[in-house]
Amino acid sequence: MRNNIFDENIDLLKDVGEDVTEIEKNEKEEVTVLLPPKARKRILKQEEKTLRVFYIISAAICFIFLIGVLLICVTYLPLFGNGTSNVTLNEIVKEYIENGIEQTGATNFVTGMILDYRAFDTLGESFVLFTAVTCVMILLQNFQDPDEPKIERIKMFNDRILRYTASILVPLIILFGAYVILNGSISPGGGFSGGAIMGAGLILYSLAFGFDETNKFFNIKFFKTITSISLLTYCGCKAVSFYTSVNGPVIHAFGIPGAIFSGGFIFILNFCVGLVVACTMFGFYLLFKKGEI
Amino acid sequence: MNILVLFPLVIVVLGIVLYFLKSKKKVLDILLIITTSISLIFSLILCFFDNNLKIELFRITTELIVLFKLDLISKIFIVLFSFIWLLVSIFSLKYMDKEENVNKFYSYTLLTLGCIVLLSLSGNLITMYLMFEMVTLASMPLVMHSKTKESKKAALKYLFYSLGGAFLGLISVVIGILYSSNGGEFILGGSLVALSSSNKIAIQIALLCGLIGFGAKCGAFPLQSWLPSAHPVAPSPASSLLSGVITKAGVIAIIRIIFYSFGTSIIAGSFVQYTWEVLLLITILLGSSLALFQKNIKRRLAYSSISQLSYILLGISSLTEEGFCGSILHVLSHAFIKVGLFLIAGFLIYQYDIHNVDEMEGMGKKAPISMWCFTLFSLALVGVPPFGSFFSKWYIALGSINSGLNFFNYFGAVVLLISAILTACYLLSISIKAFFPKNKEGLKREKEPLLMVIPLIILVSSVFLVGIFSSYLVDLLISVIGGGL
Amino acid sequence: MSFIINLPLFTVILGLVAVVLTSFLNGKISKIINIVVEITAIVFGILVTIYTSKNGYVEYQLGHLAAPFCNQIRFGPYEGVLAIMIPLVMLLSLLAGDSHAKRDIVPNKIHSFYTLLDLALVALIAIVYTDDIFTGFVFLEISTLSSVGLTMIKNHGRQIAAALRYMIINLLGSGLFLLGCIFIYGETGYLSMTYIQGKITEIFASNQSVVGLTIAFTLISIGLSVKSGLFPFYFWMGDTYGENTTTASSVLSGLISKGYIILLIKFIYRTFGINNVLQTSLLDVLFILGALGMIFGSITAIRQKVINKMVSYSSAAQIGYVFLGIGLGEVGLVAATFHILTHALCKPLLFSTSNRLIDASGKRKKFANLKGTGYADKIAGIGFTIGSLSMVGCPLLAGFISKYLFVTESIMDMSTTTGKVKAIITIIALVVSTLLNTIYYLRTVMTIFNTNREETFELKRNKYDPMFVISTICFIALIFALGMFPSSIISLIEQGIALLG
Repeated sequence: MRNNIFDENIDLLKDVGEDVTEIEKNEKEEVTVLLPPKARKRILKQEEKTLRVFYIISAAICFIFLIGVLLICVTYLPLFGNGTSNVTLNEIVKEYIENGIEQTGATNFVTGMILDYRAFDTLGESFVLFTAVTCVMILLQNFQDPDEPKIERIKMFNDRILRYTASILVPLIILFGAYVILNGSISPGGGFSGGAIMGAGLILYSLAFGFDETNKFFNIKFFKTITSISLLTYCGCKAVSFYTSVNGPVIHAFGIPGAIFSGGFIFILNFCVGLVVACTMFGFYLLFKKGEI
Repeated sequence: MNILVLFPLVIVVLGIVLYFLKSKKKVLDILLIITTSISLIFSLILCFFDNNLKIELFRITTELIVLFKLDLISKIFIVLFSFIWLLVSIFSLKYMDKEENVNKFYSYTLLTLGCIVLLSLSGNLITMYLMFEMVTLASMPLVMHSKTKESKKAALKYLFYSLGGAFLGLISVVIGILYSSNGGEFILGGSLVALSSSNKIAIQIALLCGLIGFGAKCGAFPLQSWLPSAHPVAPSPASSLLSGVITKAGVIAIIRIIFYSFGTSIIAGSFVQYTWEVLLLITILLGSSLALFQKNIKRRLAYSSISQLSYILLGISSLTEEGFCGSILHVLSHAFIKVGLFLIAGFLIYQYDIHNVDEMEGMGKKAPISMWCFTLFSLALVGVPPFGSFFSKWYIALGSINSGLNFFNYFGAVVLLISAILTACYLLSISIKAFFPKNKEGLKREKEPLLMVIPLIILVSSVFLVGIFSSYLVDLLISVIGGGL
Repeated sequence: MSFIINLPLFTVILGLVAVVLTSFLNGKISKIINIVVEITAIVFGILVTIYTSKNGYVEYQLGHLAAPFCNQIRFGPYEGVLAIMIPLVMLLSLLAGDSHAKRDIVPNKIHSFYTLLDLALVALIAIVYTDDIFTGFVFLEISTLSSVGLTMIKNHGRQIAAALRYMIINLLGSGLFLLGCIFIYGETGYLSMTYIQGKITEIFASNQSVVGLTIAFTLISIGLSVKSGLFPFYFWMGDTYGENTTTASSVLSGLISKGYIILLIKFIYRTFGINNVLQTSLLDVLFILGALGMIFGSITAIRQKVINKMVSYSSAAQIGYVFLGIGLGEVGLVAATFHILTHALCKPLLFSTSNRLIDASGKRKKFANLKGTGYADKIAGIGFTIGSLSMVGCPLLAGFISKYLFVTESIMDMSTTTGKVKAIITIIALVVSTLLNTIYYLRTVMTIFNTNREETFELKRNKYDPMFVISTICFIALIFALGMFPSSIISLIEQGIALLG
C-alpha cells in the first residue's frame, strides 16, 4: 500500500505519548488487567457482545419509530398535483410560467429559476461543491516530503478494447456535455447536468489511458485555475446583477429567447457552473483513486 | 466630599500593588500597617459625616447602578472591620515570619478588607451582591494559602458554598430590584411596591432563598459545613478574619435585605419567619454540641462560630427593636471575641506548635497573659455580665420573647441558655486544663512576643467597652432604626 | 436609499471571493486575506447596525423581483449585532491560535484551513442575514461541511474519527432540517420566510389541520438542536472540540454551533411566528431539554480528566442555557441572545488559554500535570481565570449579566401556571448548573495556580506570542465591556427582536 493517512496516524499516535494511552485505558480494562489474557479477552468480548446487541436493538426501535411517525405525517401533507394545494395555487408558480420568458430570457424555466430567480441559492450550492472538494483535499491529498523518494504509482491495466471504445466515446461524451451546458437556457439541461456528463467523460478517459495521460492537461494548477475563475466570474456577475437590480440601472441583456446567447448572464453562469461541476467530479475521482490531482 | 466614600478603592489598589512587590518583609509589613491605618482613619472620619452621603460609580443598565451610600449600619461595620484588620495585621507581622509568600498573603488580606468595606458601604442590592461575590473571591486565596491538598479542598468547598449561596441570594436580589420603587436602593423600611396576593408568595419564597443563600456565608444550617473545614486550614490571622469578620458579610447582606429592601411587613408572622427561625435554632444547637467533640482548637472555635453567628441572625429574625440592637451588639462582641480566640490559637501554633486541645495542658503557666486572655474571651462568649456579649444576648433573648411567634417566644430564649451552657463546657474546659495541669513540674513562664500580646489585650478591653457603652449604642440604634421596624 | 443597505450582500460576496483566492494562494497571504475580510465584515456589520437601528429593518431583494419570486435578505439591529460578533470572534480566535495552527497543520494544507475559516464566516453571516429557508439550508450545508473540514484539519487519528462522528451527526441534522423545509413548502407553497409566516398564520387561524406544520417544526428543531449539541446529542463534543487545533475548536464551539441556534431563532420568529409556535408545545420541550442540558453537560464536564475535554463539554451546558432562553418564549430571547454573545467570547478565550497551559506543561493535558502552569504562562493563566469567572457568573463580567437576564426574564411571566413552573425550573437549573460550573472551572483555576508540585517533569516557559497576547487582552476587555456596560447591546437586541416579527 502507498503511504496513506492511517500510516501517518499511527506515528502521530505514538508521538502524543503517555497522555493519550492513559485516556484510552478505560476503567473496565483496569479491573480485568489482573486476569490472564485469554480470560480477559473473553470477558471483554462478552460484554461487547451484549452491548452491541442492545445497541442494535435500540437503534432498530428508534429507526422503526421514526419511520412510522414520518409515514403517518406524510398522509397529512396535501396531495401531489391535484391542483388544490398551496404549492400549485400560488402566485409564484403563475408568475414564473406566465412571465418567465420575459423576465429571464430563458425558455427553459428550470434554468431561469435556478440561475436567475434563485441565483443566490445556486451560488451557495456551487460553493457547497467547492467546500466538499476542499475537505476531500485536506483528507486525501498526500503530503510529500521533498526529501523522500516519490512513491511508485500503480500502472493502469492496459486494456485494448477499453482504449478503443474510449477513443470513440470520450469526444462524443464531452461534446454532448458541452452541448447540454451551452443549451442550458433553451432546452432541458444546464450547468449541473452538463458538467456531470463532462466529468464522466474525463473519468472514462483517465480509466482508459492512465493518469499520466490526463496529467498532461489536468493537474492541480489547471484544476484550481478553472474552478477559481469560474467561481470568481459567478460571484462577479451575480454581484453586478444583484447590485444593479436594487440600485439601478437595471441591465436588460436578455437577447432573443430561444437563441444560444439568450438570457443575459444565464449563459455565462451555466458555463461557470458546468466547469465547476465537471472539475469537481473528476477531481474527486482522482483524489479517491490516487490521492492527488 | 462624596468621593470619600470610595476610599476602600485605595486599599484595593494598594493590595494589588503589594501582590507584585517582591521586596523585604519589613517593607511589606510597614505598607500593610500603613494601609490598614489609612482604612481606620478614613472610617473614623466618615463617622462624622451625615448619613445618606452617596456616590454613583457607574451604571450597568438603567436599573442596575453601582451605588455606594453611607448610613449608620455601614458606619458601624466599616469602623469595626478597619479596627479589627489593624489589630490582626499587627499580630500577623510576627506570625507570618514562618510562612511563605508573605506579599501574596498581605495582598489578599488588603483586597478582602477593601471589598468588605465596600460591601458595607454599598447603597443598593446589586452593588451589595457584587461586593459579596468579590469578598468571597478575594478571601478564597487566604484559605488555600498553604497550598496543601487539604487546604485546596477546603477552599473549593468554601467557594462552592459561598458562591452557590450567593446565587440563591441573587434570586432575592433580582426580585427585590424588580418589585422595588427605586431600583433596589436601600431605604430603611424597604422599598417594595406592587404587593398583591398572587405575587406575595413569590416574593416570600425569593426572600427565603436570599436568607438561606446569604446565610451560607455565616454558616446557617443547611449550608454550614464549609465553615469547620475552611477555617482551620488557613493561617491563623486569616482564619481569625474569616471566622470573626468575613462571616459578618452575610449578616450585612441579610440586614440589608430584610430591613432596607423588602421591609419587615412581608415576612412578619409568615411561614418564612417560622422556617428561618427553626433553621437558626437547629444551627445554634448543632454548632454548640458539635463543638464539644472537636479535638482541634481551631475546629472547635469554628463550630462555636456557627452557633454564635446564628445568635445574631436569631436577633434579626425576631424583627423587633430589641432583637436588632442585640444583633448589632453581638456582631461587635463576637467579632472581638472570636478574632481574639483565633489569634491565641495562632499564637499557640506559632510558638509551641500546638494544634489540639489535649496538648494545652499547663499552658497557663508557660504563657499566662495569652491564657488569661483566652479565659476572659471564653467567659465573654458564655455571656458573663460585664462583657458586651452579656448585653447582646440579653437583648436577643428579649427580642425573641417579644417577637410574637407563638411557640418560639420562649423557645428561643431557652435555646440560648442551653447553648451558653454548652459554650461554657467546650471553652472553659480548655482554660481549666491550661491552668490546672496534672503534673506541674518543669513548667515555667516563657516570653510572649509583644506584637502578639498587644492585639489580644486591646481586643479584651474592647469587649469590655462594648459592655460598658452598650446602653449608649442601643439608644443610638433605636433612635435611627426604630422607625423602620 | 442609502448605500449601506448593500453592505450585507458585499460582505457575503467579498467572503466568497476570498474563499476562492485563499484556495490557491499560499498560507501567509491567505491569512492576511482572511484578516482583511474579517475586519471589513466587522466594519460593515457596525455600519449596518447603526443604519438599521435608526431606520428600522431593510428588505434587500437579490434579483430583479421582490420577495416571494426572488431570494431576499432581511436585516435589522438583531442581525447587525450578530454580524459584528461573528467576524470579531473569528478574527480574535484566529490570532489567538495562530502559532498553534502553524504547529498542528501540515504546511501545504494551511491555506485550506483559511479557506474553510472563510467559508464558515460566509455561511454564518449568510445564515444571519437570510430571509429564505432554502438559502438557509444551502449555507447551513456550507457551514456543516466546512466545520467537518475544520474538525479534521489536524489530520490526526482521533481527529479523523471525531470528524466522522461529527459528520454523521451533522448530516443527520441537515437531513431532518431539509425534510422539515420540504414539509413547510408542501404546506405553504413559499420559501420566503415573511410569506410563509403569513400563510402559516392563515392556516392556524382557519380550521385546517396543523399536523404537517407541527411535524415540520419538530423536524427542524430536532435537526438544528442535534447539530448544535442540545442535551441528548452532545456526546460528540469532547473529541470534536477538545483534540483540535485552537482556532478550529474556538470557531466550532463559539460560533458554528451558535449559527444553528440563530437559524432556529429565525425559524421560530421569522418563519413560523412565535404566536403560532406557542400553540404547539414544542417550546416547552426545548425548554426542558435545555434545562437538562445545563445540568448533564456540567456533570459530563466534571467527570473529564483532561482540561480540553472539560472545556468542550461545558459547551453542552452553555448551549443548554441558550435553549432554555429560547424555550421561555419571547421574554427569554434577549437572555438567550446575550448568552450567545457571552459564550462566543468566553469559549475561544478558554480554549486558547487552556491550550497554552497544556503547552507549558509539555503537552500533558491531565489536571494533575497542569499544576503551576498558570505561573509559567501568566497571560494564559489570567485569561483562563477571567473566562472561568465569567462562565461561573461573577459580577462585572459578561456571564453575570446573562444569568441576571435569565432570572429576571423567567419571572416576568408569572400570570400563568406554565409561566410559574418555567420560572421555578429556570431558577433551579440555573442554581444547580452554576454550582457545577463553580466546581469544575474554579477547581481548574486553583490547579493551574498551585505551586505545590510533586511531578517530576519541568514546566516549560512558553514562547512569547504577541498575537496571543493581543487577542487575549481583547477578549478580556470585551468580556468586561459586556459585563459593565451591557445596556446599549441589550437595547439593540431588544430593538432587533421587536423588528424580527
